[in-house]
Amino acid sequence: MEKEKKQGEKGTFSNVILPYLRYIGNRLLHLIPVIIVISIVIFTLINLMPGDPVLAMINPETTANMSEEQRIAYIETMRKILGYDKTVFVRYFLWWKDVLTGNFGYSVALNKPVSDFIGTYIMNSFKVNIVGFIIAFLIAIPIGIKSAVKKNSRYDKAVTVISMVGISLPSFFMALLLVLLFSAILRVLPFSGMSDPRGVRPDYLYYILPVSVIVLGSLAGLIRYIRNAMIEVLKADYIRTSRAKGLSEKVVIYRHAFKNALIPVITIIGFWIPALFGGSIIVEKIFAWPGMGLLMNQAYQFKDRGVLSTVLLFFAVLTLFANLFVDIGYALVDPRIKARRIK
Amino acid sequence: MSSALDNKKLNREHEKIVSPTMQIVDKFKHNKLAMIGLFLFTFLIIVIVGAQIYIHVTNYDLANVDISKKYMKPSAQHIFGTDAQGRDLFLRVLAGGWISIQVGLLSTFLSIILGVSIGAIAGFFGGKIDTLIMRGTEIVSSFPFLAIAMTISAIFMDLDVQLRLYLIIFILGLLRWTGLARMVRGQILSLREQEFIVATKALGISNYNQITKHLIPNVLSYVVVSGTLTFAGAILSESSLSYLGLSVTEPIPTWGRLISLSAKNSIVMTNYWWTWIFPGLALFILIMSINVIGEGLRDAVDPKAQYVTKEQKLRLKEKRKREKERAKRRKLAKAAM
Amino acid sequence: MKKKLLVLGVLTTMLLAGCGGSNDQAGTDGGKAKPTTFVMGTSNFNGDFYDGWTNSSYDANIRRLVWGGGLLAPTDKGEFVLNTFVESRTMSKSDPSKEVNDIWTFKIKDGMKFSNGDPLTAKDVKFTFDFYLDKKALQDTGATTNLPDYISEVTIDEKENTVTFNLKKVPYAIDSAVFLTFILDSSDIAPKAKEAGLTPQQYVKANMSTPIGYGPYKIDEYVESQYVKLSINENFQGNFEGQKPHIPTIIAQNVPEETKITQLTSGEIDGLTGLVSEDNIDAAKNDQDLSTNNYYRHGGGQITFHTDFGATQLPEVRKAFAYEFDRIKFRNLFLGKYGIASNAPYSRNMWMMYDAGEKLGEEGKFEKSLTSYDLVTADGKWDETANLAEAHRLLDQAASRTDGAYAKLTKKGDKYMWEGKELLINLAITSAWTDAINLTLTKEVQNKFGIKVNVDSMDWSIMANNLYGNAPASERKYNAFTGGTSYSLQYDPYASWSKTQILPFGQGSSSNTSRYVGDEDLLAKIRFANSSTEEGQEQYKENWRKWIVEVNKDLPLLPLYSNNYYDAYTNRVVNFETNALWQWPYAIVKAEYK
Repeated sequence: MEKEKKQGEKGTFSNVILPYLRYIGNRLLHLIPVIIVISIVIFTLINLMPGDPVLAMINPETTANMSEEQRIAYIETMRKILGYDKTVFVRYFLWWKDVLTGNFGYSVALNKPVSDFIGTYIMNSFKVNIVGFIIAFLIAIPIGIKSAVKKNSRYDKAVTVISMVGISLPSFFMALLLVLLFSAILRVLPFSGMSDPRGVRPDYLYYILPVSVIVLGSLAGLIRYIRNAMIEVLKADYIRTSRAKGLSEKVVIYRHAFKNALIPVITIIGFWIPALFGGSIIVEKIFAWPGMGLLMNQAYQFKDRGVLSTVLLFFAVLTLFANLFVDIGYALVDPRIKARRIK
Repeated sequence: MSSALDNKKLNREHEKIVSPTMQIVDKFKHNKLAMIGLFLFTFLIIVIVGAQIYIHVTNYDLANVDISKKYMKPSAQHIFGTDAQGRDLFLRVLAGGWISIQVGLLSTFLSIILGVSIGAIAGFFGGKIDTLIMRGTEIVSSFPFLAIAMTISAIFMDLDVQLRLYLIIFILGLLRWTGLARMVRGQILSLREQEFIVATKALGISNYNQITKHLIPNVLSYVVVSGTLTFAGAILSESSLSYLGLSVTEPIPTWGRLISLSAKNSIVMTNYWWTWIFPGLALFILIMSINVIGEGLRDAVDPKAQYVTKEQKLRLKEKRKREKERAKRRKLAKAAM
Repeated sequence: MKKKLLVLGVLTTMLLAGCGGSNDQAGTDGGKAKPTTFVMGTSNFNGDFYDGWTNSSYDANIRRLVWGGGLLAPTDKGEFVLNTFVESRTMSKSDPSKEVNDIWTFKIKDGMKFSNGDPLTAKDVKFTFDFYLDKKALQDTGATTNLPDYISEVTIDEKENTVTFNLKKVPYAIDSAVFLTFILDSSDIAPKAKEAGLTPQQYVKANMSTPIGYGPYKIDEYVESQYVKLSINENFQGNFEGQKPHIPTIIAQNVPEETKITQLTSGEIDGLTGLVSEDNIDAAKNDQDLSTNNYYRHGGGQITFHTDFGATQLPEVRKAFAYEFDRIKFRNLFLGKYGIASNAPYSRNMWMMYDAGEKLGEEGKFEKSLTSYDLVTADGKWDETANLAEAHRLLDQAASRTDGAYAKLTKKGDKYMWEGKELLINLAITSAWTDAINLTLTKEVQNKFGIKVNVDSMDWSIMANNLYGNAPASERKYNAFTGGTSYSLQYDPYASWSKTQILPFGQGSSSNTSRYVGDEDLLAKIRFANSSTEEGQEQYKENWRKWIVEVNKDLPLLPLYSNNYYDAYTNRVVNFETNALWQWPYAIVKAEYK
């Protein structure tokens, strides 16, 4: 990139940046039909769920005590509030109108509009995820590098085996084992919740177990990825050159190899963006952590179509943008793809 | 004339032509970790299949409930103890393995077929078809797995128990092929430019044959690697679905179900440890061994990776020993000075 | 990089070392002082701390702590007395020809206050009833009420501080239907609603989690999906015994089902109520640091039949199914050893079940006289042969009849046929019942008895809609449903059993879920028994028993079990006496740390 900039100074914009913008614009354009198709699929799936949505929301024991007209009037009101007095097609477009204007529907379970509470839930999942991911990175980077440098050694093999533990057990199992060990037997950490109702224990204690589950689950893949990226970089010619130049191994690794290995690693972060905002349905249930997972759980229990369709759409779109981000990242880095895209 | 014959003899003796597959197998064999994984995996399979035969032959009733025997500790009679309904856990765990493995195999099979064919078509034809298919792949991969699985399961809530199993297999296979498709496409895109494919085109071989007889076999090794990892993932996903109650129901056991039954209550986990330790251990060993095999295969398939043969290892050891001696002698010499 | 790891490791160990053993200290000020907080574990609340919207029992517990009663308040025996801020009640007849008193006047004591200092007067009572009588305003916000069925008019005399109710009808259960309504703070709600330009109902709906009451506790802090923190309300007048709360702070904490018992046994929380599963109960009983209260649930689990659809139209088929169903095995699978049998819609907490001299909670003479549909051998085991014989006898008897619906039941060789096809019952269940049902109604059992049962598991809301008849008639499939019932304190079978409560399938919610038509006169007599005279009570009991016998004979529903509920709590707390009719928010007033 540096070389190119030096060569055509006056044409930098049209030579380098414009093609990228064109590429990005192209991809964004392609995203639109994808999003539409996804929204149709989600909408269809949700509407295929059995049961009348209005009746599902109304507790029949409540309406049983009403007189005929009262009951009919009540159901009609709820139908209007939920928007089910219109046909499927109209509802679909109304749904889009709502989403684009920031109205995320009405939650049947909590009896209030989704936009009232969804912010808190997303933040809660985000909080625990971001800590988990940062710690996972902090642990994975040095270990991944060392594994790459000492490829096929006993250290490398041990790291492989240990990190695989995290992906060889179902997450709920790991969570429960941790809770049993640290909360029940050792009694050093709290069982569940986000904070101490008694106001005694500091908040960060409540983060430790959920974060651990996240870290353990992501370590294997991350270490593997960093290791492979590092191995690829270490094979490169310029590394051999710097070694031949007589630079110490440490400098070779950390200054030259690592920085270049980081580039593919950083692009992979793109894949983690949707995961940052989501929450594991199972793990959040075990820790009573009021995040997106718990919200989805509740939504399924009550067949809360408003919450479900909006949240699913949110995640789908987030994933798509993450993919786009990753692809752009790759295009920036991989010269082969660069050559093809920038015509 | 005789020199030509001699040459041939020489060549035959000194140049062993090893096929690529043999290379892969060799590399794998030398990976101790992978071999351990393979050994454990085969052991588990043999035990599980054996138990399945036993169950069929003796018409063992998995629904045989005997409350008086509930929650008995492991003993000579019941090697793994009994569960909450008084049933022998040893056979239940083994029977569960059978179902779990079936679920994993069938859904992986479905994923592989979908992934390979879709990826091959996208990579081979390129252009608009490629874009369309890649967009489609994006759509499928952007759905959060558990959420969609729950939705589909909710739609088919009133299905017969046997059919539920196939529905689960179907869901698992349907949502997991995208990674494989992307990889296959990438491989085929690069293979396409290579000479041997250009040659087949020049020879006029049909598209279908090109894809099936020439391109796919070259991708096969990567497919196998990806397949083993998908297999492990499918079994894990099934156990998560079991925990949420979306998988099969009584009396069909799967490992996920057995663990979930116990994991639903921490008191049961602490007091009756055998109800989850054994299925959990079995699940762990199976998945670990598969993962390790997968990693071993990945390393074996990588043409640039080399394994260290026994002779080389011995030579390295000798070298290190000699160096240590030399260093020691140098130190002594220095000290003496 | 390695240094970073080291630092992390050191920090973690310091953390773990520094936090060990802090559990026991939580909530106390130093080791020896009396704890000031009681943490009750519950399941998740919706945050709806006002009556009328959602029906979660966990929300209801918070409401009980905040209010504790309306104009009338419950006692620990399930009776109703005047609340402690009410001075007196006078009843009269609007017309000498009326049978019952339909004009009730309550005098509120002077100087009564809400927990925030606002005055509690007759004005607040009128405001409350206007609030809950405004059908339209309530429905617009998604709330429901049936007070308009009972009340025609509410008037007050501000000077005298009295409220007068003109009642439309005075059934046996009027106390719990009308006068337990929590009184709202008009000085708080009315001006704020006006300021925001909302109706009082809309304002309350927007501020559901900040209620103002006059009960033993007031809400200090509410963190959604996590906990509610309450402290003593200084203005509380005392419960029916004049008791005032002792424990300064109560926390209702949402704990996950998976770990709740371990949290209790390790001291993380101080109490749990409504334990039903054998594993949990045994763990609580075996723990040295816990006390337990146990009582029979005021309710139970049952299979409800639709008596107007399919083969369950015939009482013989229903009874044969009852014999096929091994309830003893089912109870063992579903509840372990903490479930008892039940043979009709009663609970052992109902005084009507007992004769003079009999102890509440034990099997009385009346209960023994009812038919049990599980024939047992001499040592109490389920006698398959006897049950089989009885079932076949009933089915043969029904098959031989040809009048009305009986014509559809025929016997072909050894098999029973309904409308020419094999005799089949479609049973709808929710997922919690799956294992126990599948293991009880195995294929062998079904084949032996000749009644095939098709079991479909579904979400509660779908099953409920089918049960109540709230689904399209063309898709009607099920004629048996599992479920649980909770009885109210004053039991009036009319609401769930009268034929007036049956709407055609698909045209509305029928609260008579079994769609059973029985002795209407009997139900009316029970309904309008006079609860204020001893003669009236005796008549109520007599007629209620007659009805129980009828339902036990015809079997429109098959009761499966009643639970043995356990409440477990730390043994540092004494005088915490919960029972089936006296839930923990009421009982906690008398409780204290020793």
